[in-house]
Amino acid sequence: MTTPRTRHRLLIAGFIAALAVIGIGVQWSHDAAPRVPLDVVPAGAEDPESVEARTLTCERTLPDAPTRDLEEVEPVGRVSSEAVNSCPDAFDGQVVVYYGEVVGDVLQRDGGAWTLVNDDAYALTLGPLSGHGDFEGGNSGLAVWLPGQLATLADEPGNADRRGDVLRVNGVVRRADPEDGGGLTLRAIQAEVVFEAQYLETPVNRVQALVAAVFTLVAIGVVVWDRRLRARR
Amino acid sequence: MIFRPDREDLKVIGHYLGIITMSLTAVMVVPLLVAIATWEPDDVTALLIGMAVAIGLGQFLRTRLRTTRELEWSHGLVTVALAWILATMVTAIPLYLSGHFSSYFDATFDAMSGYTTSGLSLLQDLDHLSAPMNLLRHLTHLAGGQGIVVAVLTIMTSAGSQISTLYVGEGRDDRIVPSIIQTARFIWVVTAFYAVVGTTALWITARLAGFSDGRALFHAFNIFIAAFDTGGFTPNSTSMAYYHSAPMETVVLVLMIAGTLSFGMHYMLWRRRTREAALNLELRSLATTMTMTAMIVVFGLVRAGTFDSVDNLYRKGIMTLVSAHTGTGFAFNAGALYESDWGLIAPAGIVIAMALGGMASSTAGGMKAMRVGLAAKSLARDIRRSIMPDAAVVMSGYTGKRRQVLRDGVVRPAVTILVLYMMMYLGGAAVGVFYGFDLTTALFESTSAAANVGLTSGLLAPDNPLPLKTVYWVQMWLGRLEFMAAFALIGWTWALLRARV
Repeated sequence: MTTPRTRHRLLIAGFIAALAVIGIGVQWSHDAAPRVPLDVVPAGAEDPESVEARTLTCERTLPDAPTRDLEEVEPVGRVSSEAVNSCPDAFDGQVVVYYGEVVGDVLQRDGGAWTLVNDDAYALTLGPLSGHGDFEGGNSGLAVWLPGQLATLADEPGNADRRGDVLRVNGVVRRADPEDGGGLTLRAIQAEVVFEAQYLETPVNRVQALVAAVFTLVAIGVVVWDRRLRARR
Repeated sequence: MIFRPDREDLKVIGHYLGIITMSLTAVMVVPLLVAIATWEPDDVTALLIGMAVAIGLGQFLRTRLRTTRELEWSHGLVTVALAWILATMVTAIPLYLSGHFSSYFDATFDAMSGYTTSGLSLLQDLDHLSAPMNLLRHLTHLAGGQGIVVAVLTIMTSAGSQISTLYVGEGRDDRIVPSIIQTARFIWVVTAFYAVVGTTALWITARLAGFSDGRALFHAFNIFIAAFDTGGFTPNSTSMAYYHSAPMETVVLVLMIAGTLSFGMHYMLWRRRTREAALNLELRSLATTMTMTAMIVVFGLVRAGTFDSVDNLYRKGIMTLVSAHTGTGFAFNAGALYESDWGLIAPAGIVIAMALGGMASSTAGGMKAMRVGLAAKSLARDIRRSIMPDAAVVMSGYTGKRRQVLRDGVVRPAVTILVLYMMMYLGGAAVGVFYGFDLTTALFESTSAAANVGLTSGLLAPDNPLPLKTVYWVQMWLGRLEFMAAFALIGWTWALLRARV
């Protein structure tokens, strides 16, 4: 016969064991996730810095600085969203080349479309995180305005199931775009799809399904046990 | 002498924790249905695991720790403090299994951020996150904004008189109607009203912005939750800048302000007691500080040459300011721009706004407008007293629920909490500086976490040192509970370890 003190200790031990089992089950499910990485986007694998041949100074333009017409601006070459975000003034009004994956939605309106075009590792090299499990930080991208016929260029934006269309955009950086309430944008002059959307073909995580089934059965068991205890009282 | 809590004390806490844990399944049910409808099998199993753990553990605690002991004041505070941690731990399970977090701790960070309606995130590759998991993140805002403990117990138990302590423990001290149950239900009614109106308005504006019907609904519902519960999560990485839509931003502006008003103020407005509302110290304090910080931000942005048109100053500057002051944390441009493009004065204005926060008994964080108003009134009274003759009696009054005389007994606790918040903001910033970040960035991030705002200057990242992430985690928890429940938990733990009966 067990004493109340022993029962109490057994209860605590059982609770700790249950927590350990939960921890192991969750970690096992996490680690067992199957990975099927996508192809690397060839253009995206290039180092943006290597394409750039011109130095830009990162300092705020004075309000009375002379503005230049678009035709006079030399193309800066390829830029990354990180560089533009960290020094928007240096790129303001510059014609640049930008590569990235269209993600989320293509918001068609006013004779064009707003898109979010990411150039992070998930967009250009590794593909969506769930396909490979290599952590490369957060997303990074630029808001791109695709005017006129370019608005229909990307019809498969990226989401959980696929990497979206990858675009090469030749456009003008607007540090405080009046058409976007002062947002930092890239207004496309030319754009093309350089890599079609690619779907993830990751199989179902069977270990996770097994753990889910076992945990669900145990949870149902605990509820039934409680009902019986109550009925007995 | 400290009294050591006995087994019955622990049982009553455990019993209520069990009920709360079980109820967390409600947060996961809708994402599960969405996962089934859109057939995301790994999300289905991840959510099932989370629900099974919540039900299994919760039922076990509830059954085994059933007791006749009544919930007392200290039990309530400790239960609240632990419930928020437990809710975070359980909800982090499906988030972790989504594969978008490099560690389980990072997943708990997002869950804590969600429940505390902060909006900071360590999730990676958000733009490829599945819809069910995205929805789960936003629903944590809803549960946390309502106050998970009270929200649960008013529905699942009939222990009305016992849960008033939990109500206070969750940082709410404004009993709108005499009964706590009725008060909590009123909160649900207000939320439901805004949910219908807000989601519909956002859906219409999202359609106009170019979204398809289904995507518009998904974004509208998520953005409604994050705006009204002053949370700050968004379905995509660029936050509100993703939408490029002035009409959507206008709806969001209304929702953010509605979210930062106390539910008591909503009740006043509901009853059309507008004159009373206009005299309310808290509302006046909020309006004053929001106007002053808006002036700082606009001045800073104009001086730095960041924006030169009224439209730009409104859509980026004022919207960000309101987002910061209400504790929402929506970004209206890329986070790096605060540092690279906003100069120094405007971000300083944003930090002040974040630190001040919204109204008490709302979903907003920060010091709270009532405390700021009381401290300002007290300061003005003391200044008047110092310039009056010695024999003069200087009185000051304020309008809360009714017209009252300003007494030191009211001012003292308000100022104490203000000081604690200041210490927390500076303490978090000091840790950031210790890890090599510059003071302005570290202060921005620390204030954002402790005031449950969620704006980021770009400092917070998954590869931050674990102690720094832990500091922000604790700051979010402390900020949401406004210290008292957390102090009670520390006191109890101390008593358990050291005290003798």
